[in-house]
Amino acid sequence: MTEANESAHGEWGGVPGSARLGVGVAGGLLLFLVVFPLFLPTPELGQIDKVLSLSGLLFFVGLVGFVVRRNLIVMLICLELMFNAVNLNMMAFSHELNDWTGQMFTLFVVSIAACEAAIGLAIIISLYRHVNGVDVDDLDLLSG
Amino acid sequence: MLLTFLIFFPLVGVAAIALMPTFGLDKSYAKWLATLTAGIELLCSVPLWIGFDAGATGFQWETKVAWIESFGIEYHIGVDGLSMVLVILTALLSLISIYCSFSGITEREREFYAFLLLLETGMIGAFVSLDLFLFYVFWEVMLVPMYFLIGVWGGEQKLYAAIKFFLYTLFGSVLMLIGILLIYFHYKEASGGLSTFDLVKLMQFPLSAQGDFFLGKSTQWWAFLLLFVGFAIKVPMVPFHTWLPDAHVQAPTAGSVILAGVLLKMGAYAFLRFSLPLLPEASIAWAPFLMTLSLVAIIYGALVAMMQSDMKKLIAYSSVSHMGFVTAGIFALNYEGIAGGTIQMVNHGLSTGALFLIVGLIYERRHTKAIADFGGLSAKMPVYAMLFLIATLSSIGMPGLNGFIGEFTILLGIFQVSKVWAAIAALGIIMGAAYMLWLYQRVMFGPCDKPENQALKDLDLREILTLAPLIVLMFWIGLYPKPLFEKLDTSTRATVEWVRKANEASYGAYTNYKHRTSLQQSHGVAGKEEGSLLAPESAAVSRSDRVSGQVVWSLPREGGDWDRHSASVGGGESR
Amino acid sequence: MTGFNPLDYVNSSDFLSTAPELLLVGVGLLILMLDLFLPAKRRELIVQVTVMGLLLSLAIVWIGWPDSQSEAFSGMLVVDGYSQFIKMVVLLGALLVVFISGRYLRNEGIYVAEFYELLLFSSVGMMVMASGANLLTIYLGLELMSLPLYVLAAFLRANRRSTEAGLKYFLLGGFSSALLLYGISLIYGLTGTTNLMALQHSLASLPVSPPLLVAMVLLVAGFGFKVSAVPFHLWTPDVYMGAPTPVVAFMSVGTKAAAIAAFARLMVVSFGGLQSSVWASMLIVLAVGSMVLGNVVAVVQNNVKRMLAYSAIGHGGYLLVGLIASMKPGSVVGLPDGLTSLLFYLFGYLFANIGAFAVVIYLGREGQHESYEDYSGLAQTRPWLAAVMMIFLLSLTGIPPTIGFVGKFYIFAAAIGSGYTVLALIGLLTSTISLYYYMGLGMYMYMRPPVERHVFYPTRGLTISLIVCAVATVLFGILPQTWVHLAQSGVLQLWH
Repeated sequence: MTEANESAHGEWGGVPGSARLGVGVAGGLLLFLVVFPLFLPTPELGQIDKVLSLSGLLFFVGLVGFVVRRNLIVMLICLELMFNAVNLNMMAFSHELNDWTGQMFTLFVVSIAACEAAIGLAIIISLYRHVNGVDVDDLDLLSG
Repeated sequence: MLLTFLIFFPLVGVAAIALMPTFGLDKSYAKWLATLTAGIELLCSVPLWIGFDAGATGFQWETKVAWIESFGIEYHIGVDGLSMVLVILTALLSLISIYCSFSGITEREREFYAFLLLLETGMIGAFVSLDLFLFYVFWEVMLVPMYFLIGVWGGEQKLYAAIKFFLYTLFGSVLMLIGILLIYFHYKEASGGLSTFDLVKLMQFPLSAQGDFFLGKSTQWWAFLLLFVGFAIKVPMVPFHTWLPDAHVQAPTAGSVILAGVLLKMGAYAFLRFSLPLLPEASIAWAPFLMTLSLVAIIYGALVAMMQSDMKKLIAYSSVSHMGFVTAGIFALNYEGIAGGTIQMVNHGLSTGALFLIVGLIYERRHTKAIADFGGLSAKMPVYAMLFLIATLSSIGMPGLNGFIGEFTILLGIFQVSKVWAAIAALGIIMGAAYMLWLYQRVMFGPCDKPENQALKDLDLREILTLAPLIVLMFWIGLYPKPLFEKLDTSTRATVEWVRKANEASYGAYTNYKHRTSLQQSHGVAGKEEGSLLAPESAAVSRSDRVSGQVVWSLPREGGDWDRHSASVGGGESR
Repeated sequence: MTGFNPLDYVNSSDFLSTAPELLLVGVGLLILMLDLFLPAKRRELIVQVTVMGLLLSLAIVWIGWPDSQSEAFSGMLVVDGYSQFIKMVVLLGALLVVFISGRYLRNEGIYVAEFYELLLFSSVGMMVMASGANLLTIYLGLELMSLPLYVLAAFLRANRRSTEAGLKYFLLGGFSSALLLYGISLIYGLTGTTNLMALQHSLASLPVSPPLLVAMVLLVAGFGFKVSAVPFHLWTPDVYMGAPTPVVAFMSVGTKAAAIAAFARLMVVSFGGLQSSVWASMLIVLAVGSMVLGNVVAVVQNNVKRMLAYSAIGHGGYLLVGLIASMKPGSVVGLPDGLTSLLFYLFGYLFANIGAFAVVIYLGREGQHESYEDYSGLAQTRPWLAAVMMIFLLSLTGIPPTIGFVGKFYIFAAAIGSGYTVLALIGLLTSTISLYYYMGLGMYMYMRPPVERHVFYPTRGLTISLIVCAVATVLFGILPQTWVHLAQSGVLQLWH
């Protein structure tokens, strides 16, 4: 049991967990600061820039987390973060443009994200049976 | 219909060989089936020679069927003198290469003969195609069986040689494909949306109001370069020749015969069939460069051949040298050069084919091709020695045999362009005599001191029969070449005339006629009177002739552009 | 919402024009039910029902081939020659895969109804993508295609390689669809619509602003994953190697076809205007990267499935060349030749690639006998098998007279016609490289002495599909006019 825990939270190329988290947050903030000022001058988006910024932050936290974290469950959660950033975006635009398409889109995204999570967890469980762990570094059979 | 039959009939043989087990035939029948197929093929190609109307211009036995309408691709085939002769040569050499393999090929016979017949389809198809796309298809179809012939039945280094052959030729082919597409799209643009790959249509395209050919000069220049790489690899011209010795040495005898006899002709044929008619101005512009490469090939091939210790490799390099003669003749761009080049293609097919057969015969007996392993064979094998001698003499251009006719005519053509070049080419003939006779001397004369050679048997009837047709043809062309020249006359004349006309037309477009004639008079040069059609408007072209950034490509006799060419290609001789 | 009646928004013609998809969904559900009630020894019936369903669907597509574009479900889907051509490719692919998978599934112990059912649902997803005229339907189709494929890739539960392949595919697939979605949301925000035709109007006057650029990059990334274009290709070799071979065969053709079809429609219909030069420059990077990397790395592989994976990356690059060729710089309307060549290429790729995977299945069980050495001397032990494999390899290389040659010829002709001569040159040179590894396999089959042969796994289905693939590869290579014309007329309907 402890071994499984260790492999789940284990070392990642010798970098401790807190440092990885730092890298993730710093990366997210950096992208947030660089990319999102681009949106601000556009008049169409002027009213909702705060929501957009939040969703952008969410998206990039998810993105960086997905790339940086090694635990499959956490990666899945990061994926969900990204989907939810999209949802937030869609809702904000929908409100702003007074158009229902965005809300409809959100409903679909939510349901598909649920399907995706179910399938993902199922495959992760299937992997757990083989390697007794849920770490992305366990995916080492197929390389070359 | 006759040509269609000729293209696809070998496939019937392929199918028959493939289905042999279904009909319970033993695999030893494969060679007879193949011989039968190739024999019928040869018989059916004879009417081409008999029925060929030497006086008629254009193509004969034409068939034209729409094929892929969306691109304007047609199944368009036909022959003129040039391709007719090559088709018959192909049919003959295919039959001989099948017949000569009876004793040499003992494993996987069915596949071997099937590939040979498949190759025949590709070769004949390529020679009779008048549609660029169709030609490209057959050109590529030839590669696959040849790859297998070398790779499966070859010598120790067969895998390397096979893939090298395939890669080299495919590399050339894809560049050629881009060249073809370049021509296609320019035609489409110039004609307002008509799409065709048909050679005849492309050539009949009405010259525009300015009298210009539909391809601009810079396009022609690029298209020629792209086609050139494809064709030159096949010939092979010198910087692209390195696949040839490997392929020749490793290939089985039949493969070498076909390779030397037919496949190498494909490149030279394609220059004549496509480069000159479609890209006349660029052909003239590039001619000094190609001439230089050809001369380098003649000398280099001969020098390297002298140093070889392996018989097959020696003959392979002699092929490089002899094919240099062919391309030199073609790019002399006059009647004698092109006619000689064509004849030399046939001659080289006969003599080199025969030489490879002869090496193959001794290889079957002794399983070695090293010259040092032989000596004094003439005492043991008199018939063999005699046939070898005839082939050797034919190869070095002995008067009375075919090689002389070809090389002499080519020299006539080159001489009109440049005396120095003609001298260099003649030097190549002398060197050719040197290495071939030396080879003959080392193998045939001297003491027969190797114990393995004591028990060598002379040729049997089948082996003599494989060589006999080639020997007969050598004498025939050598002693009475008139019929052959007659058959080739019209097509050669048409090519030369076309190049001259297109070049003239383009001059009309870009230069002031009076200005040019005055230039001619002041230089005292009168191009046409000098006998060569090479540069009809041969005065030096002054800078004022280059209108709006267009470069006027020409091959003038004196000064001017000539030097520019020489400078750009690094080494063209100036008169 | 008073007086809302859903039936106001649909009519019978909607169902008619989506009949092929609906039929397949029905068959999928029917199989699920059959599986509950059928005894194990009547399993064959499920396969038969699947085949019948696919054939029927194909027949509907064929009979109802449209002469012009028509909308269904209030413009969420369109049916035109273009979408039908892709559907035909997908259905033929699925059909062939069903034929080649029977014995394989039995050998691997996964001969279950779910396999066929997921295959059908995934096909439906691909078909929806091909017809999608709204970013929402395209996304739905994409997920409907991908979700079953994740499961199929991990279908060999007892096999760790397969599970890993499934997980990798899932992770990167989910990631790519998140990127795609974010791009879609930005485009929605900029234009206020997700309908492709409406997008065309709003985008026509929209200059390329930073948000739009970000959105376009994200879209390219999202679709690039599915087409396995470099640099989004990392999953491809691992998934191809680990996933069950029939699934890989299906994936390699179907996913590519559907993704690039939807992407092309999005690009030329919605983004045809000011943005096309931006698209072109992004895609050129992807195309050149894919062609070069895919073909160069394939040279050093020693596992046939892995080699086919890298070659699939290369073929993705060729498809992108066709896509690029459909956008002439500066012209608002795309060029039909690029897309036509793309469709035709997919059609040719279908037979050659599925055929090659069929040979892999013929030769060995999952994970065994996949190296080049296992193909040694195949020409002597199984001459016909070697011959058909050779045909597929020649077609993948692009040597006439195979359909692969016509496809490549057409793609590069289209590229040169749109002025991308250098791109065509790179493409053709990389296909010369591809000759080296394809013929490398040919060399093992023909020029090496035979190895100690183990068992072959022939079945009637496998033989049939091999014959069909080989005949189609050669026959349509010699007589491609019908399909070229069909693709051409389909593409022309895109703009009407």
